[in-house]
Amino acid sequence: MLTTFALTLTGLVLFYLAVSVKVVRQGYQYTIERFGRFTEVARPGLNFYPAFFYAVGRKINMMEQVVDIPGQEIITKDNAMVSVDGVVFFQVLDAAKAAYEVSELYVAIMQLATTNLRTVMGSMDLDETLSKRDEINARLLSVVDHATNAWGIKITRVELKDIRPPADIVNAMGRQMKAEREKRANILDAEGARAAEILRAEGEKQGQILQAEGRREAAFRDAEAREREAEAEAKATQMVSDAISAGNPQALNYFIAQKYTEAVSQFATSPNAKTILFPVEATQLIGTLGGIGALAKEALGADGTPAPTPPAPPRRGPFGQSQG
Amino acid sequence: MTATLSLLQDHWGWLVFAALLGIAEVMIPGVFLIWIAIAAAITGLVALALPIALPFQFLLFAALSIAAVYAGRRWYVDNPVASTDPLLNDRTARLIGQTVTVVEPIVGGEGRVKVGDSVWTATGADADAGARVRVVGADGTMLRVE
Repeated sequence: MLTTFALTLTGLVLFYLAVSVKVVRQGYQYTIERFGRFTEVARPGLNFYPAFFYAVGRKINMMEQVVDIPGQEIITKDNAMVSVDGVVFFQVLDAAKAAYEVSELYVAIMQLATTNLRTVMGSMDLDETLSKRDEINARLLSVVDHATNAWGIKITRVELKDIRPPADIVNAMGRQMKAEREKRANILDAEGARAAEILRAEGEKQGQILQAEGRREAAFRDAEAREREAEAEAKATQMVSDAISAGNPQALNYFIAQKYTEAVSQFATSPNAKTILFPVEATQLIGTLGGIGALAKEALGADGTPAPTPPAPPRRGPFGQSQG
Repeated sequence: MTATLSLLQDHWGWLVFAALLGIAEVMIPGVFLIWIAIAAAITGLVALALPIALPFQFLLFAALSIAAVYAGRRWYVDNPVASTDPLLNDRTARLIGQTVTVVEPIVGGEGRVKVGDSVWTATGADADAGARVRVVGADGTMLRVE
């Protein structure tokens, strides 16, 4: 009997000792309650809290943890329905607060993140929600972090994982992008064509200007040439008339006669001339010959002095002027 | 039962029990069985030296177990297990001494500072956004900066 008692007592002692030793693993902290009231936090390592007086309250994970924000439908400011999910990273800094200030810590964080996600995204329109993830993350972090301060936890990060607008909106967005790009392409085409047209017109204009300038220059030079020619002609005429007035007018007749006969001889030597057209009155030629005769007479005057020239018979000169 | 008791009749039983407890201590992580094993071994040695009746051997063992565990706890307190990284899982303690940037101006003793890629609430002297401040301590999730 005594043996049995001793054995039982020994068993009890061993069991009591076994439950009084609390080994806390790294990464956790246990809250210790004395008769139900929180007294202290058991840190990692071997802790001895006599059973019955002390009890382990909560085993708090002190590592950084991830809570999923489950996918949900959110209506944006411009009434688009998007489904969003995300993750919240947090770490318990104060085991006691996390254990006793809030019940169901994970649920609380999840709900807080969810509701604030709705708030933040509901105040933006669809395009903003898609393009301003960083801002959403930052705002969520700020709000949730403030709210959870009292629970002794630090929200280190809030990240949206996926923002999915409804299929028809995505479709429309795709079309919009395509249209946008096509528009840009068309504008570029048109701009190119316009620039090309302008350049072409400029070229033509330049060409025409240069041509006109050329013509003007040519005209100027032509006029100048004509002027010079006329000048020369006038000079030559002047010289001839000077020579005539200075010398014997019969010299003129000599020259004319020479030219006439040369012209006639040219007609005669023309190889295909069966017919000789005489555009001049033969009488004039005869008259010219007469002029030559008169020259001869004058030259071979018997008295050796030049005879006074008899007045020539009235006739039309080669220049259509009346020669008296 | 009788066989077990007969095994425990003599001191060898205690010594075998001590050895088994020692093995169990190695096998089962984080248990304090080594102290119980020491108690069993001492009981065995006492039984070897003095002829004690079996019940008293048990009582002796129980008393020695309590004594051994208390001694062990004492020993742990005197010689704490040195962690190679005592700041593990103590995020705020890690931040003390770091220089951080204010992102929300500290007005009336409360603002926000950027630590790594996260933002923490901070308390301290007024500072404008962009100012560099040093973390000197922490109250819960609030950093004290100066």
